[in-house]
Amino acid sequence: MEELNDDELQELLSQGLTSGNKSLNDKEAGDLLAYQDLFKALETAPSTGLPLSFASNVRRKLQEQLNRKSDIRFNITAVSVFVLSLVLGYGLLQLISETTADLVLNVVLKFKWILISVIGLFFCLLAIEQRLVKRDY
Amino acid sequence: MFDENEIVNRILRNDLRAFELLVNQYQKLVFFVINRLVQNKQNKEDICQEVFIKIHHSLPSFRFQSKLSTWIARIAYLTAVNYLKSNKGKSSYEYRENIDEYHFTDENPERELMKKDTSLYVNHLIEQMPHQYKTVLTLYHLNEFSLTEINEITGIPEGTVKSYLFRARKLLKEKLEKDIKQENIWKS
Repeated sequence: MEELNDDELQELLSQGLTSGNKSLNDKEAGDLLAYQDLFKALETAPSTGLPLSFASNVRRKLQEQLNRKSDIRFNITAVSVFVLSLVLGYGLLQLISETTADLVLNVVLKFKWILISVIGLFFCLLAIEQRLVKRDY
Repeated sequence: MFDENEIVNRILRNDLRAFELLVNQYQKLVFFVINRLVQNKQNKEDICQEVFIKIHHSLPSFRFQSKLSTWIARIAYLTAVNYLKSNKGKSSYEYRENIDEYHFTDENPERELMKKDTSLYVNHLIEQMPHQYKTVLTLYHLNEFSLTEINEITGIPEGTVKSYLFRARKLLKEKLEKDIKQENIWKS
């Protein structure tokens, strides 16, 4: 009978044949036993692994990413609403009283740097608060 | 029992508790792949985290055309391969070209100590193999994927997967046999 080669032995082992099979000669049985030991070693999980808190760490990281995204979305919306309300307010004032509207515009232009600074400071504080606030996940 | 459909649907409704359950269910699978392909111990956990973040972002595009485990393993495999490509030179990724001529290098004292624990020694030998061999051995033996699933995960044709698997096991078996023979010579 022709001897079984390595591929055939591996195939037999994959199909569940064990080294106790009587139809194999000594060399084949020895090879099969060696493969059996190797398969056992290959199926042994590594001794090290991920920490027990891994899943909650991933969840926390993901939550942080989602919060950052929603903060950015909120800030952009807030700026847009603020600018739009200013434009709308000025437009309405123009319809009601052109003189008052011009007066308001002049005041706004006169104190533009103070107003810009106050608005800038407000959004800076908002951004800092969003970064520093501790959230419960 | 872990119900894939229900968990995926809950995650898609922004339920992060469900996502944590998914991570718990598949963290071993992801770790086995990353652990085998990435050499740098410190980066392994970060890469595993990156894999799960990618999974969360890509989940809306998952159509249940394959098993969830196969899809997750594919993301883990591609992430590891990208990491190896970006760290070329520091890893064994360069073996890709001459994979058929691969053979184990000579002994070193550290290896002599490892031989006492077969499983540890086998893992040490696998670490030196080309990443294709490492991948098929891990996916087949540790993650218990079939050859067809390994083809889906890696994109390597099924016949090639089988040939890599057989050749890698033959190389390991021959190396172990050679070591045992050498040990017997030294003892006598």
